[in-house]
Amino acid sequence: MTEQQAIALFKCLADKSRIQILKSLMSEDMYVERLSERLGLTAATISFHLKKLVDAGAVKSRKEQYYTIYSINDEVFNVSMLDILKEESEEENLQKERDEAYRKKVIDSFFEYGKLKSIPTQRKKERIVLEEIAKAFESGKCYTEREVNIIIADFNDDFCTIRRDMVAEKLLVRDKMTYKKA
Amino acid sequence: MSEKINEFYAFLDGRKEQVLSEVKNLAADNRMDESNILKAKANIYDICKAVFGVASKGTSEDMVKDAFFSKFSNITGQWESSLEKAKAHDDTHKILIEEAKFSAVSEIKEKVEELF
Repeated sequence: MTEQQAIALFKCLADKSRIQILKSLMSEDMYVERLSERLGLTAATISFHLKKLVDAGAVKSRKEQYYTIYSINDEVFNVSMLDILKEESEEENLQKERDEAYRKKVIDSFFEYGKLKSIPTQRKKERIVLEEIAKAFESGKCYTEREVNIIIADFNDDFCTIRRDMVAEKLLVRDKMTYKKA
Repeated sequence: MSEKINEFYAFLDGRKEQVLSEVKNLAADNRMDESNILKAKANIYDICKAVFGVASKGTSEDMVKDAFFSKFSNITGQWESSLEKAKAHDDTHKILIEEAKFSAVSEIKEKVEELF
């Protein structure tokens, strides 16, 4: 269930008449007139609420001879609240897209043909640059300091500063004389 | 103003108050959609009062009923076609609004028949 679907469902459920309809449908599947008699609401009112419930996915309908029978959509109600909250929100995706665009902008500004033109002074930008360099290291592999320097030197001559900053940013882990990608 | 007209206006005001109180009760009972729809019914009493005022001006009391129905039917005719359209398109929200208006219309017509 997407965030928008969850909001539509919760909005729809925030109505006493619709809750009463759902409670009735819990006991058995019903058609409009039967619900109308049971709940003391007009058939038009019941149809109005059922349409909202169907649109929100809370209720399903099927044709049986001349009648449209309505039933609870179990699938929707079996989803736990925690699952709904765990669902990634569209806002989160938008934020990710914005972050990704910013990241690309920084990389495009500081790298030219794979070489780092200068080390950014802003920490946030430097972190992005260092993360990009860290991609050249294999996960789990141990590197000597010399090997690390050679890899970094492919990007920029100031390999000492970059190596130290990568360790400070916990992108590389130093263990005695070897380095590992974090 | 005649006693009958006064009684009719008092009826319209009283019914409007009752419907508005029902609107409030529905809202308090967390039935907001039904509450909002019923507001449309409450407006009909004011519309009717205005139409009746125009119809009764310069009209003798024995002719006021026909004059009022003639003017009022021009308005309700539009509501009828709106209700038909809503039914054709299965627009349940519009159907409820138009039906709420017509329930006020039938009450009003009954009262007019009774008084005039």
